[in-house]
Amino acid sequence: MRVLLVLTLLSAVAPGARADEAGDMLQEVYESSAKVQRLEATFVQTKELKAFAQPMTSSGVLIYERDGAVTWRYESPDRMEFVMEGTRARMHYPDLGEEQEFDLASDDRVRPLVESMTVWLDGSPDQVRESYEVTAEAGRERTLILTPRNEMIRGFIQRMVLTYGEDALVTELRIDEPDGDATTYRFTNQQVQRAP
Amino acid sequence: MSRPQRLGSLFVALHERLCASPLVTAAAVAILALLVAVGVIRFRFVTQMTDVMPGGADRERMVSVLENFKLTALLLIHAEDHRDAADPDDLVELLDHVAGELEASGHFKQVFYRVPADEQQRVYEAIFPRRYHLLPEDQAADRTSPEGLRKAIARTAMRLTSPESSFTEPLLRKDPLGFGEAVLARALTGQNQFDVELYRGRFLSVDRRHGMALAEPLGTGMDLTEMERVLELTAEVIDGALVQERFAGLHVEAAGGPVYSLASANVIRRDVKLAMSATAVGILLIFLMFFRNLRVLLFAYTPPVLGVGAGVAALGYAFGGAHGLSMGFGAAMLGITVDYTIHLFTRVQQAEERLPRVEALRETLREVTPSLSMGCLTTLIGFGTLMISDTKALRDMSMMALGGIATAFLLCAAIMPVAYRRLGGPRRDRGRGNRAAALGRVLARLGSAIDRRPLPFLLAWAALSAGVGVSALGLSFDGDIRNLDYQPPEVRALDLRFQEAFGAGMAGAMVVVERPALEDALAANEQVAALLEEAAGEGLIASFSSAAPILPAVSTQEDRIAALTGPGRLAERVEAAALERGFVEGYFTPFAEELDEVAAGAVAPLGPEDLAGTAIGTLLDRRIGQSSGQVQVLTLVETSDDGGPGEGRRDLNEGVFPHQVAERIQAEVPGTIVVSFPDLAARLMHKVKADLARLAGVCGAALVLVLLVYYRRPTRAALAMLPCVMGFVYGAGLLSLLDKPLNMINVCGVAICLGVCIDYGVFVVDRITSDATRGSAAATLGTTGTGVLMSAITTVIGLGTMAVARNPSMSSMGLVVIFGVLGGLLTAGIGVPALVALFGPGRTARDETAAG
Repeated sequence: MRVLLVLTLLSAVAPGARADEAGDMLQEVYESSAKVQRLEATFVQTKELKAFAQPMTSSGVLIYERDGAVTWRYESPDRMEFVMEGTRARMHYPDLGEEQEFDLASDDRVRPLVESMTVWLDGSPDQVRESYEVTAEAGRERTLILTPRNEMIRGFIQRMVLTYGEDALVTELRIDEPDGDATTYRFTNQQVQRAP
Repeated sequence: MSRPQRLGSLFVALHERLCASPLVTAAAVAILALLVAVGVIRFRFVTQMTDVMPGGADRERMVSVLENFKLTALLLIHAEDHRDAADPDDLVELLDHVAGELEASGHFKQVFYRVPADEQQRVYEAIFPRRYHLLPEDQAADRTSPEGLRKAIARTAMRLTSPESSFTEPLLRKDPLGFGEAVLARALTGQNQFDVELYRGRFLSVDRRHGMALAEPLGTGMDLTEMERVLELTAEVIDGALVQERFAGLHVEAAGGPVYSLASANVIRRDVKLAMSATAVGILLIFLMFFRNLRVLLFAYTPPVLGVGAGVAALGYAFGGAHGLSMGFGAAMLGITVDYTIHLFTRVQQAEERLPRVEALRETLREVTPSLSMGCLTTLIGFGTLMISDTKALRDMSMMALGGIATAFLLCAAIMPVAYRRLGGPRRDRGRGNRAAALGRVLARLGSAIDRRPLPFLLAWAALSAGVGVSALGLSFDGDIRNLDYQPPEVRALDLRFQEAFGAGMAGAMVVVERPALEDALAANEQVAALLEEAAGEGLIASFSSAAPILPAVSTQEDRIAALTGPGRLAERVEAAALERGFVEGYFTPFAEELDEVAAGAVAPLGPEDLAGTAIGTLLDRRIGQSSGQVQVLTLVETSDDGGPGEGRRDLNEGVFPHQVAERIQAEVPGTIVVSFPDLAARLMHKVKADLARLAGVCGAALVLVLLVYYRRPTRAALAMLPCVMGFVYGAGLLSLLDKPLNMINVCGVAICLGVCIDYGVFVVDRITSDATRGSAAATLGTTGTGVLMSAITTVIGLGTMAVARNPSMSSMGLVVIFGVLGGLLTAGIGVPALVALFGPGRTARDETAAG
């Protein structure tokens, strides 16, 4: 939820009324979630891919620990686990018996991509400001749009759309890719541990 | 005049001539000294254990493989993080610092410690487009079978729904069957002999507490001076890094071939120096004790010292150098050659009690030089015979002995008497008596006892000798050259820690295919890899590291493409399986298009040049070499239970591996070189045994012939040979009692025993059968016995220190010589006089004494 703190600082980044709107909202979510130490939520992932005629739906659990790992644990229909911790990322397919590690420190291609997948959860204010243009979406309340500034990342991610609930926690994340593919995560059953 | 008398007269005449021409004599000595000095300067220490091996194809092959692939040249840098909260980033920083400094020093051909991202990308770019060329047929068939296709497409679908698909999607689309990942994984696991992972492009252990770098010095492992410099530099760099606060709690150390070579050489140098110094000091003490005159010491010392120098010079001229283990013989040669001067000056001193110095010298030369000549000749024959040996260490010793002993003898018999006559001899001290004479009187009493009651002495000697002889039958032979080397425990610990950290076992065997062209060599290498895979499956070997997975022959790569792009188009079958799984039509078109390009020959097969400048390319360079116009490809095989030098070794001669594996490989891939230590040990054992039997036969026959010619009586020749034979029996028997095996180094000790003990036999038999003694043990031991005993003492003092050498083969050589000399001494001092007293002229003398 560190990103929420960051995002509160972004009001100056986005121009005009939309930027003011984004700034107000981020200030609100930052104040609400700054003390979050751990978050666990169930998610439903819907991928609209050009590879498949029909959307592909998966579900699982997201576990976030401040200063620790971010784990995407897929449970249905296939078991998978994607863990990001420090400078390493690991993709594990238990049913395939396969595992792949990414050394984010040495791989200049993969690192920004993986960071972009977690920046809305664990990015520093400076990172977000430097890496994304942040706006609010017209007609949709409590929604922020992050657009990568890096051309290479824009080759993979066109934009990320974050929707917040009444309790200032993200309830939906949509990632649009430039080739038309899109992935939407909907978060429910959010259990939060906050610092005293 | 008898033959010995004529020989004695010749030496006296030579002595008078040399005394009359001092300038000629001095010039001859100066020329000799100059030749020795030049030869010694030419001499170089050799550290490769292969240098002491028997010659022939095995040795040549091993030398060729070791030199061509520089297997012993790599310096292994091992960084470790001891801290509870270990941080791999700190290890990376430390490795970068140390390896970077070494790289910048200019003493290394290459320092291999990181694989930058761009290099990883180059490897990927070289291998991924050729994945269809590189995946073996059986794995490709699995993936392209109906069931394999179904699984592969399902896998691709699953991966497309994962978070990583954002950046892996284009690859999955081009490679839905996962050929690329399989080939890259196979390349890494098949080629890399270390259990490491890449972390930030550095090689860390799986637990990320250890990091490694490999450094190849510019010089070879045989260039000890350069290795010493390299290791000093490495130590400075490491010390300089570890004092920095940022590396607190971290540790770095260097292991590997250069550390081994230098440690081994240092141990041998120390042992040789110790043995030579102790011999020199021992002889010094003996001379001071018995002659109490520094001038005699100078005269007595010059021949052996120059003799050792001449021996080293002979090696320098003939072979350019020798292994340090062979140099241990230098100490023994001091002991052998000093015998001549001891005999000469003991007798001169005894004669000077009765005669003026000049007359004493003439009498001594007349009486002693025949025995000295005979002793020298038989010793030279014994050592000279070793020149026909297949074993390099024995040939080295032979060359050293021929040069050294001949020089020492000439100096002793010709030059030193001249110097002694001109410069003066010892102070005669009749009142207090000289100690050599006093020792002579003690030995004369022993001789009198033998003269009176020879049977008990003979029985005691015979019983002891028989017991030792029975023990000699149990002597074993260890043919493993690795057991000849010695590494200090701290050096072995370095190696062990490296192995534990990175799972790198010692190669128990090296398999090298050799063909005129690279293509043929790579094809043969694939056959070898297949056979080793089979052997690993059967548990005959633990693992192997081959170039075959990463670089198959061009013909193999083309065959694989033909199999994939043949009838029943793969692209169409993939499309059908994808549709069935829910993919849209044409999604895998990039795959189909690329496969068509490969089939049309648009992608060239992989060659070594495609990986040049990359980590895998570097490893390939260490596996593919050139030798005598042939391309060699090396495979390292790790045996199942060989602990290597870091642990106690099992008996390699009994190893199941690699005999059957080696035989299988050589039967199916003709012309392949298999260098395996167990196999080599077994073959060396047979070879050295045969060599020894041949040498013993030739040497024995030559000695018998010479002694027969000299003595003209078989009994005397046999008596003169007896100490030599018993020297061998005692050396072997007592070694066996200590449960130590004979090996290629301590077998040299047997040769030394022959050289020393044959002198004892000749000296004693000459004296005891002379007219002066008429078979009297008392007269013989009182004169010649003194010299023999003092010779034995100096030899034992010198080689006794060798027995405590750290190098096990050198220490066992010392033991062999000590035991052998003891046997020769007992036989010459008790056995031969007792036999003569019982059956020879002494019997008459004894009977007369008893009757009187």
